[in-house]
Amino acid sequence: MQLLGATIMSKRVNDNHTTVVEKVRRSDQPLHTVIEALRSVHGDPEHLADPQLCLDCGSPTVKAAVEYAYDYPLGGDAYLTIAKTLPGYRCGNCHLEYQDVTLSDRFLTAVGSALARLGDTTLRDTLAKRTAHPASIAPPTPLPPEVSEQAAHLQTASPERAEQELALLYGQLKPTP
Amino acid sequence: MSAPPPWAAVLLHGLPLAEDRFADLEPLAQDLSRAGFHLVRFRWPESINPIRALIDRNRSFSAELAAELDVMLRQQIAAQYTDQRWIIVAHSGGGTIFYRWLLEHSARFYNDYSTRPAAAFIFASLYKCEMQRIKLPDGPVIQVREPALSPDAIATAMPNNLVIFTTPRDTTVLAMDSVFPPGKATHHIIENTTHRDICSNPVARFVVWNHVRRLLSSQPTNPS
Repeated sequence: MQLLGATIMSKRVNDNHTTVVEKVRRSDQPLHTVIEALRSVHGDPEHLADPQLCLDCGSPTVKAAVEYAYDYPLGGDAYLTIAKTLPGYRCGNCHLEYQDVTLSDRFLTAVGSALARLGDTTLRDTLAKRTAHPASIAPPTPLPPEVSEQAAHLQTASPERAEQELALLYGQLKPTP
Repeated sequence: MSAPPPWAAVLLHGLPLAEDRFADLEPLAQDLSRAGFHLVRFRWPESINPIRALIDRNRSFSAELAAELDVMLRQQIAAQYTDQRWIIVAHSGGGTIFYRWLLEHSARFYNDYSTRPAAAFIFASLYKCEMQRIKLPDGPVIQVREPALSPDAIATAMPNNLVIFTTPRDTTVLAMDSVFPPGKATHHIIENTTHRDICSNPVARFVVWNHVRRLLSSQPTNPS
């Protein structure tokens, strides 16, 4: 794995410092298009309220920012690492609880499109697979005709009727002692 | 003291999102109870925070809980349910734990007790997570840094009666992470269900009934 060292730093200065760091790590490929995509979808970092208190629970803390490191596999030995440092202080507990909800579908789609323009469609293809129907991955196992017929009947039966029929069927099973 | 029922069903719930962890499995559990199965519930220990284990690169929620499952099976299944007279019913993360148990514990378990599950019914469970995150049914997105498990190895460890259920409408566990390659498992697609209600769907329960019926009719009567 070759680290190209492409680090995008966009700094937004307010009363305190806020820094967002994103790294794109690839085994090859120019990166300017990806960088552009990252910049175009990035939102403003949150305002830093009080650097000495946990932003989530308010308890005193010396722990600094939440750091994300998200590795996105691109195939082969290549992957995309998105590291993000959010402003503010959080205590150890809240730090651990923090989730990467900021990595939006829009963001990933933008990166996937950028990489596809560079000739690597792996990420875009993976994103497309997210909505794949189960049958496109493996066909369902066929049911015997009479079972399939009864299943179709249960699908359209009222909930009460379906419960009655299932109770009857399961009640008739007799495990051997 | 009365003898235990002749068959057991081990229930594995998923991420504990509701107060009743087994709520999603309950209708099917009642079906099996009605059929005479003894229900054994694997409750994730409070000492393990599954969310943190999912996030932490140095931990694996499925590995930690598979070890706990192995302990429970040795205590509650091994001695009483010989001749493979027990089945697994797992939903979501519970299925992932069972896959991990198959890969890391089942061979030794079989070597020690000469018994393994006669069938496993797995609902909406992932064996890998390509996106490294899942969207929970109630909204939040959490990171998942679990190692991918090999579907080939899982199928080898459970060569017969590995039955998986999926739904096209599952936005939590994606089909690309849960459906085994063709020929590796019995695969049923339950339409018009979601990640949460797939186990309680009447069609899914009927399909389970059909498998169990065949299973019971193929087992020889225990002479004792």
